[in-house]
Amino acid sequence: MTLAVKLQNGDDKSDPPLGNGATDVIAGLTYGYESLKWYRWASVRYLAPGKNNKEFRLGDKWLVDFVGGWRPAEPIYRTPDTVWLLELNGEITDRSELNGNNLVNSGGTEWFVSPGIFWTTHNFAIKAGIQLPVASNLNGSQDKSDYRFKALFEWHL
Amino acid sequence: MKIINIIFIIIALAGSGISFAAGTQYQLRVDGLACPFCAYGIEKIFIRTEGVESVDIDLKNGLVIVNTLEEKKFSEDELKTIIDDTGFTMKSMNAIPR
Repeated sequence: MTLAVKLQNGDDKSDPPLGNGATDVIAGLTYGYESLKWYRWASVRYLAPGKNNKEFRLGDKWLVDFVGGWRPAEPIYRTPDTVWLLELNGEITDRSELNGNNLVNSGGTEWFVSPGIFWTTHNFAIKAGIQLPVASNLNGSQDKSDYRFKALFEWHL
Repeated sequence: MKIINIIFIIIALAGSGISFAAGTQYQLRVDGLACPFCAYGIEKIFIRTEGVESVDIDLKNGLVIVNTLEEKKFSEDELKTIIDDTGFTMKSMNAIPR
């Protein structure tokens, strides 16, 4: 079951005005392989953001991911299991547009190296990882990305 | 002496946990059993099926082991459908009376 809630998510007073009402489209391809010892995945996704009610549109974005995983101990059903993950994530972004004009200080390319863990026990899982920026080529004058941390808990009833 | 022997055998059988009203053990060979958390979906669906006594999963050998009560019988197609519904593929099966 999936539940989605859409909230007001744009600040109309910011510069450029973020506004509301954009519908984004994403499409991609993925490849994956899992064994008792090793994991590998790769994916490429293309994100095409829509224009919001303030005529602002974020740049199109390619998202590229390569993931390797290693399970140090043989998995045994109903006992805790750990998989260590290492990812390479790329984000290649076009310039954003406001009223049909490109914004100079937007878009560019960033690459991240992301160590992570996938820990499970029977019907409960924790996925956590940190994205560390390793290469950045941003257009115009922009701050480089800081590190990003994400943790996900899953409990299957 | 004969009575003592019979009593001894009864006690020994009771202690060994052997049941005379046993069902069937289904050993299903399933492709892609690598992650214990992912395999939980198989246990969940079987354990909610009437007549199933217990489920175990042997990840190393790619086996799902389903023990049923005496009156419960599965056909191969039924088992294939159940495994298919959990996102895995059943390659073969063995049914062993317990």
